[in-house]
Amino acid sequence: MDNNKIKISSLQLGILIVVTIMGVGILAVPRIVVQDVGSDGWLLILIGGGFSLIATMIIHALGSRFPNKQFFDYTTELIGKPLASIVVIVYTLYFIPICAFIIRIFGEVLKMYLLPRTPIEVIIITFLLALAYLIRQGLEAIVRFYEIMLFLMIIPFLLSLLAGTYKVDYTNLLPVFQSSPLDMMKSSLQLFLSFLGFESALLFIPYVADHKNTKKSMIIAISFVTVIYLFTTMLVISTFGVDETGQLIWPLMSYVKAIEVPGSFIEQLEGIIMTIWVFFAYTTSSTLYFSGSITLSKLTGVKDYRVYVMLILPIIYILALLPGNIAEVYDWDSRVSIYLGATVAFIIPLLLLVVSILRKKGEKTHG
Amino acid sequence: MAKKILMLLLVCLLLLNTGCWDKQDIEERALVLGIAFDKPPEEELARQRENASEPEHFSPRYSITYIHPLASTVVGKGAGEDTFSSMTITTRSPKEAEREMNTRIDLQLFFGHTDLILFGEDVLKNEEYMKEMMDYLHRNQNINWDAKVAVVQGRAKDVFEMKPTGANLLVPYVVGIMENRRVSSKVSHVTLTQMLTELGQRGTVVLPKINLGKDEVKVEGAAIIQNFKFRGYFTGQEARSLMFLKGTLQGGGIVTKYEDTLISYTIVNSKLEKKLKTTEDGLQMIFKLRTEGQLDEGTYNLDLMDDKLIKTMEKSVAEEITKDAMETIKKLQREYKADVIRVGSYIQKFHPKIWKQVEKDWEEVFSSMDIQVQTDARIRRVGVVE
Repeated sequence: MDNNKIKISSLQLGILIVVTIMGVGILAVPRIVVQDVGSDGWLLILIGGGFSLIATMIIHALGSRFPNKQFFDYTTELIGKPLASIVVIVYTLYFIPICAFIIRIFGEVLKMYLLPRTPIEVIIITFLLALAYLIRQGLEAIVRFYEIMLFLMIIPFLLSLLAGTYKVDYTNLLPVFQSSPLDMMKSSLQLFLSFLGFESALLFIPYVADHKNTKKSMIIAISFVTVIYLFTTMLVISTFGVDETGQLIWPLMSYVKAIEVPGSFIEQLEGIIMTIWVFFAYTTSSTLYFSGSITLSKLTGVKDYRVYVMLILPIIYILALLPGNIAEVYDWDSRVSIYLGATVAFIIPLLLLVVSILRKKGEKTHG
Repeated sequence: MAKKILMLLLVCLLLLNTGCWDKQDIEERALVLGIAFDKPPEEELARQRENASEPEHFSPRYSITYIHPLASTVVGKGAGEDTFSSMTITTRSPKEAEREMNTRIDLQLFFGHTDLILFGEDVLKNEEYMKEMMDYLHRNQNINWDAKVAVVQGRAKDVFEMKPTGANLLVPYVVGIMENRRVSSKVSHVTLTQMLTELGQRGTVVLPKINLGKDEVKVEGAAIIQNFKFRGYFTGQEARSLMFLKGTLQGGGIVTKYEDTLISYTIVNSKLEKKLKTTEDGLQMIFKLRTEGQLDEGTYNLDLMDDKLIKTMEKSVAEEITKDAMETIKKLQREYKADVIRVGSYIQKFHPKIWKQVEKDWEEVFSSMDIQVQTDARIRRVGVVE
């Protein structure tokens, strides 16, 4: 990609962050939050959102010191070629497997609820081809696609969820502040993983045309996702209670199934939600896939990332099909996200920021 | 040019291939409207065992009945023909019954529109069966979580074989009665979601009870399931009190004595408030019920435009409600030790510290707890005569 030609707006960056974070995870978020801390769970979302906000600010601070340089270029400048290569490898090893697991979970849910007889291999390969098609068009096409999708995703999604609000027991959200702060911290680290996706902003900050608004739109993006997560989690817990929510693999899907629309005019909203959710999965995995092919092209020094789009497709395909069952997928996913996710989204940007401040490289952060 | 033709062919290919894998025509689907779970009766088992193709594998535990509309008769032929088909399968497990069905009919079962799930009382008496059925319903991704659940006194299957007078469609007829909870205080209504959630929390749930008549069903009373086991029935009046105490009552009437005559009170609105007090003797729980409604029947001699009279009538209505509720609470505490009125979850939510102390032996604490009911019944309207 040519750095000078491609420009996106800060709003588009914000949208990219929103649609990347909200993906397959949203179906499982209510389960993750209640698992360890019970009815305190929905408070975790606020803590998790706070964590992500801090991490995003670090990424922004780092990016704004080098407004016209690519992430890996200034990494090399900061810590030298050998170390920078390791950083690039870490990012590649993160983006590609995570993308694969997301696609696998997507395939499993789709097979479960919508296409019971279609082989999962076919679901995954068609999905991957559709992804590759979009990614080859480049960053500008991707963000423009996201801009359209955001409205098509969020509005019907919220409307369908609202249909269930009239008959839930909100006292299920009580009691609060019962678990120890240590437990809360531990679980919010788990939840932090559901917010992953914003780290891809590292790659895209250099393309933003109006630099001074970047920070604002990143903050808005993270807050927006936090509010949506909070809303859905509170609804699901109010409907099912803590115990049942903890038992369901995809509590949000079950919530949608349990919605009783007054007057029985429409029954069974899961068809609608399923359709929208395909886009949730699509936007998330396309950002990760895109980031994966960019990092790989940096690693090998090839200018055009497009070469890699088709090359890593079989790798993602194989990785996606490797886990034997759904429990194994979530197991691998959480292992990769815990060790690598926290590293790429938090530790590496923080270290780089410290180094750049100490070595006085880059411009001073403004704002 | 060649390129354009190729593109056109590719587009056609794409259109033709869309969704081919999971294509299913609606007439290939058996839309199961109702499922009935029963325990197979002994004499039938003996008869079937003789005819079984593999006698050594024959050890059925359930007899499951599915009812589904026959697409051909719904569309084509006129009245007089059976529009529904009900089939009973005797098998070892609910999923096996589903597979067995597929060997007998040319359609595929689909549970997305299931409206009614019935349990015969015998099949609920076994804890293991109950858990197995719950797991089957819980795990099934297609089943309609909005389906109504009920217990049938006798065999659940008989409900599906009955021909109600005046109603053509059986399942909507039964579900329709359950929807009457808005006008009748004796009819309750539990969806699959509610049942699975409550069973998951404590293993205890109260389900509506269906009584079988000759050409009709009657939805009245309730059955209590405790620790995944059927324990007993509540009468219609007790079921009403339970709904009061759970805060789910939507409407209906109460008939009570006032001096020598009977008066009939229709509830339009009811509200429930709970309060916990710690006294020297332990915990005291107070249920405050507030109802608003209309007086529909007095007696011809009484002048109902008298405010004082109405106040005293309100009192006797309230006393009636309190008395019923207290009796039901006593029954819950003494006979079942079952906290179906959610005292425990109230304490857990609003007094978590107290809950931690009593959580371990909650059943005992509940059964010896002091529970009081205070009712405030208001008569807002008296009809159109004085």
